[in-house]
Amino acid sequence: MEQPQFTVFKTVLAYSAFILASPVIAFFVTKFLFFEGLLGISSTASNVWSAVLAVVVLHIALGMYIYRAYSDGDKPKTKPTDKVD
Amino acid sequence: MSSELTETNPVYGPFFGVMGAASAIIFSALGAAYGTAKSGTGIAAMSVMRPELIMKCIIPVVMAGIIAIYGLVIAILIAGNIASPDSGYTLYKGFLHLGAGLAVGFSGLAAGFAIGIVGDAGVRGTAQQPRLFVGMILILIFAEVLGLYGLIVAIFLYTKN
Repeated sequence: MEQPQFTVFKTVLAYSAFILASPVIAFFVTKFLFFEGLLGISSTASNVWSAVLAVVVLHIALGMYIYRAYSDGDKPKTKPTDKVD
Repeated sequence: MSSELTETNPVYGPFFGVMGAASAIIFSALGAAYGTAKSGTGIAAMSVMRPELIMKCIIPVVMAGIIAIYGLVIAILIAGNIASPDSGYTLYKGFLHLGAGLAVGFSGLAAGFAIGIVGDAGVRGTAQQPRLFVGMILILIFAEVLGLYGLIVAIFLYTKN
């Protein structure tokens, strides 16, 4: 009985954590490891490209959530079990 | 003492940059908070009768949170570039940073207000007529893009030299 509600909660929690964490992680990882570490770009340029990349990652995550909510949310509701008496 | 500061590097130059970083996150967070609260009341009223729609109707809250992330990105960019005036932080850079912060801040405020009002009405309407959901998402995306425009202008201002 409690199972579907808990599943929805887990899904929403996982997507929320992903949406909040992914741009921050993408910003700092791409700035320090990729743009400044591997390519050696100057600080301002690496800042800007990391910010752009973080925003793109953010919108991909948001799109994934909207797709999930749109395709998964309107599943036909299982009929409540008939009362036995 | 750095008494030979010219008038292009005055001692109050970083004040504008700091105000830009602060206003970027303050006004974006204000808009995001309004959007979250307004659409949250809608979700609370809707989910009393249709609790199975909660997953769909969290979307305005998520989009309001994204507005705050725009402001956070610009605030981090500006804060990482502020220096003391005698290490080359000109008044011009301070003005650019103030402009960048205000651009993303007030765009985020406007977008957050729009998301809040649309989210409230849209969530309540989706509970009555599920086909409204697509329309609500489209309107929310158009509201969200207003904040993105501010972010783009802010990044352009930030990269000017």
